[in-house]
Amino acid sequence: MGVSSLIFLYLPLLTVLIFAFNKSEDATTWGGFSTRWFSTILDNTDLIRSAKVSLSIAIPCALIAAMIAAGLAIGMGRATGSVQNVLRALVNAPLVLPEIVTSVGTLAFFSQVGIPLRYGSLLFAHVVMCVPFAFLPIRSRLRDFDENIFEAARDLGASSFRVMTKISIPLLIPALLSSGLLSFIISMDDFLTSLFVSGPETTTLPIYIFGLLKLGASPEVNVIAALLLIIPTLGLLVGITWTATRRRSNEARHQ
Amino acid sequence: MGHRKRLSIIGVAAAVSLLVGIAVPQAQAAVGYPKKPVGTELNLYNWSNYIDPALLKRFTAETGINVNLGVYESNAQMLAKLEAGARGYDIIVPTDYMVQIMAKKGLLQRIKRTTFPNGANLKAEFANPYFDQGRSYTIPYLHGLTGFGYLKDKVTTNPTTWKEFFAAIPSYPGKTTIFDDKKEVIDAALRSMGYKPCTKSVVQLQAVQDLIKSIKPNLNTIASSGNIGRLSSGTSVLLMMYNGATYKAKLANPNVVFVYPKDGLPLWQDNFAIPVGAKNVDNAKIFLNWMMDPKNIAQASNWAGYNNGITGSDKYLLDAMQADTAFTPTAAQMSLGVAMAPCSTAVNDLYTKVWTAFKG
Amino acid sequence: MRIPVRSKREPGIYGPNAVSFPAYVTGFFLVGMPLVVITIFSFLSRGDFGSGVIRKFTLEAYRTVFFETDLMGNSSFNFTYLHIIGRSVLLAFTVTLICLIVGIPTAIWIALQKKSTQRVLIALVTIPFWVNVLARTYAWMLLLSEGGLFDKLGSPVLLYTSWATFIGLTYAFLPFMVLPIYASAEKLDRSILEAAFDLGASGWRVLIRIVIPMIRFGIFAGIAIVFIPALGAYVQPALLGGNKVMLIGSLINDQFGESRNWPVGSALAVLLLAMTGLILLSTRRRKLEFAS
Repeated sequence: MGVSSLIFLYLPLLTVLIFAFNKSEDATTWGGFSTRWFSTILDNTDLIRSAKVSLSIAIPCALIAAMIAAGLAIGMGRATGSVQNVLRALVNAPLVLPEIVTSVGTLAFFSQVGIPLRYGSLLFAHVVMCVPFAFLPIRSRLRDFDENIFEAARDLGASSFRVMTKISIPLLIPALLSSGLLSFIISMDDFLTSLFVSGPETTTLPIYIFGLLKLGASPEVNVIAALLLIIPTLGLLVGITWTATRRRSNEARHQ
Repeated sequence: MGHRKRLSIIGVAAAVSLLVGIAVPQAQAAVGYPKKPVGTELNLYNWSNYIDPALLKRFTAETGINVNLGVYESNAQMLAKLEAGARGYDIIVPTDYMVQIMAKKGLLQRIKRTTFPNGANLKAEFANPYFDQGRSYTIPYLHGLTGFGYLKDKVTTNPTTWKEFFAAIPSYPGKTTIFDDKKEVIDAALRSMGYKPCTKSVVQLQAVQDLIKSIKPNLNTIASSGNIGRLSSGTSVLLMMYNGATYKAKLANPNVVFVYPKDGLPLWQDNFAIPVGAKNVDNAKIFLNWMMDPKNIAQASNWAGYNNGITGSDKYLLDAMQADTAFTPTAAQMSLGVAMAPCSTAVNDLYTKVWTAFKG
Repeated sequence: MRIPVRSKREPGIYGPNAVSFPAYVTGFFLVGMPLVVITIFSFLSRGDFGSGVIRKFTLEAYRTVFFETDLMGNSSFNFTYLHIIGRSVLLAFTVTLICLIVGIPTAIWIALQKKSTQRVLIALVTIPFWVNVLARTYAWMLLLSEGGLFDKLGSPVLLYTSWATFIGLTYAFLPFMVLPIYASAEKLDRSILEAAFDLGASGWRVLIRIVIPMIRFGIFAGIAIVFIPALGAYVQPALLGGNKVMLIGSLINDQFGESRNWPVGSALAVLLLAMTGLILLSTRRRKLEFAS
């Protein structure tokens, strides 16, 4: 059963990958092997511009969301006050609420307050969406730590600030990297929120691609879809092998 | 420095800056046609797949202005986006009735077309439309008609009216498409039963609702875009189509036929306009002027398959295209076309009821 | 055993309390306020010709969602909208069910492998999650279209049907179901299972009486993570369903776009929010021990 689920998961991905090399102009029927369509996408200025827009949102979003999430984890400590619980629930809400609700809500809020749909508004809509995701790796890493270190530091008279800068943040760096990466991917991939909150200069890559998909299957879309597959997969494989080698060297060092 | 002296200097500085503050914006608001581009960007918000990418590239090469293209699928969508706070589009492409609605709502900027170098290049019949007398808000882009198309090797009954169109749909289950546009669909259904668009009669609209709901299971998709490919590839054999889109489908598949339904069809005009809140007004004016050059608008026509409203463009249009009736209707076919006009809010709400019941 | 630390209630343990404020501020303004605004909007009236809202209190939006006056002036329950909502719930339920049926065995199977294999398999399950949902949906557009693989294998053309939407959603959410269940399953104490087998229990009994109750928190998490987004899905019905079958997600999108009726769109969003809340509450009580 497990193997068949994996096949189910990968068959469509392989299809997209293979069809990117489809020579035929009819995107859905196989006509032989060719790489001709790969060069056409480089000429597609709209595609490239939307990719740039997406990157220009995703990179700052990753940084900001990671910082905000780290701030939340560090600052809230072990607090359990009810106001803080409500606020924390709000911060984490985008994780559990359907995106259609949060995106129309954001649109309604912006329009009510008079915030135009520009780069800044889209960036913050993304940040809000990414913070709960960024929070997860940080929280779990903080929990893994021996409380006694922090206790000891406080007993020795360190201020909260010193504890944060000398202990918490350095320990969190690997988690921060995960948070940043997670936020980056969530932001790059986001479609629904961007659709509602985007304005004239913020046509993101998914929005552009959705427009193409509505026109139906085409060889160009085959290539674009394949790239959307290859790039994150390669990135992930790199990440996984990197963490695996680090783990192995850590294990070796501790022997 | 003495107290009073400081105060008086501040006072003078404030007065001067106030005067400058009033004076400078007026100097910046270019009255009439700009001498050269301001900045390098232009945000164009257009129908999906409706302008030649090569044309835009040539515009950039000739003027140095980069065009950022955003797309929409219907007038209502475009209006919704603007009203939701998406300010900063420089050029939009509203259809005739939408121009009237938007002008009334104060969403469009007046353009001083007469100050444009190419400003007089309007064909006589496009110079004074009902929706923009004197063309103070818009210039014409392309115009066309909405009929239907089919593959003559697959659909052998040769439908010639909307009535026959709707009647034929159940014979081709899974191979038919209609627009995702409530006005176009409901108007077509009304015509098919001999009624008029913008009817107030609930009896007539109920009949429309019943009709479109009954054919829905036979449709493959409800879409206003992507139909050129659907028709030419045979994924759909019978669809609602714009005439120009059908012409393009015909280039890919000679079995394609465009029909001007005998029970009437809408004649629509798309226009360029500058919405309020545009960021690059000067560049927008340069674009409008550039699109009034007969050679440029002809390139747009040649690519999209629709005719335009600019004088002098005819000689640049492709001969084969001009000879095709999908592009150039005969007089008889043209007489079937009726200009679209907006329905009242009350009728619009009725249309929405029908459409929601249909889509649901 | 760890000595209980007295810092359990002390906020300053990892750093100054104040650094959490940016998060609280963004949470309040960009999550809390939007929800408040759409709730308010659902009680306001439509602007002229449908644009935006005007500040006039009315229950019209909710009336429209639940009751309708059809063209002939007859009032009745609004079957159109209720039908759409019902259909969305049914679809989300079915998707969740299939994900459970496929996901539970898969997760358990992975958890029973040796550690290094587990890591590889989980990585394999996670990778599709990182691929853009549009690309994954497009893959099914290719497979299910006329002339596509499924057509060649003899199945009827499924693209632009409800089946296609269903397949696309199940495919998109399967990793979401497998991962939390696996997280629970890998903590299973194998010795208990071995003891059960030694005592003569059949595989089925072990599964139903022991394994599933032990991983129930993962299952609940999986259900919540799949059902809620499936309920509000928009992309798959639009691309795979041919835009013919309206679900709540497409309906809300339509009310904020083409139909320009913000109050009704907001009312539907509030309704969806209420349904989400119900589901979260029902899976929450039992999540007490599930460490997040």
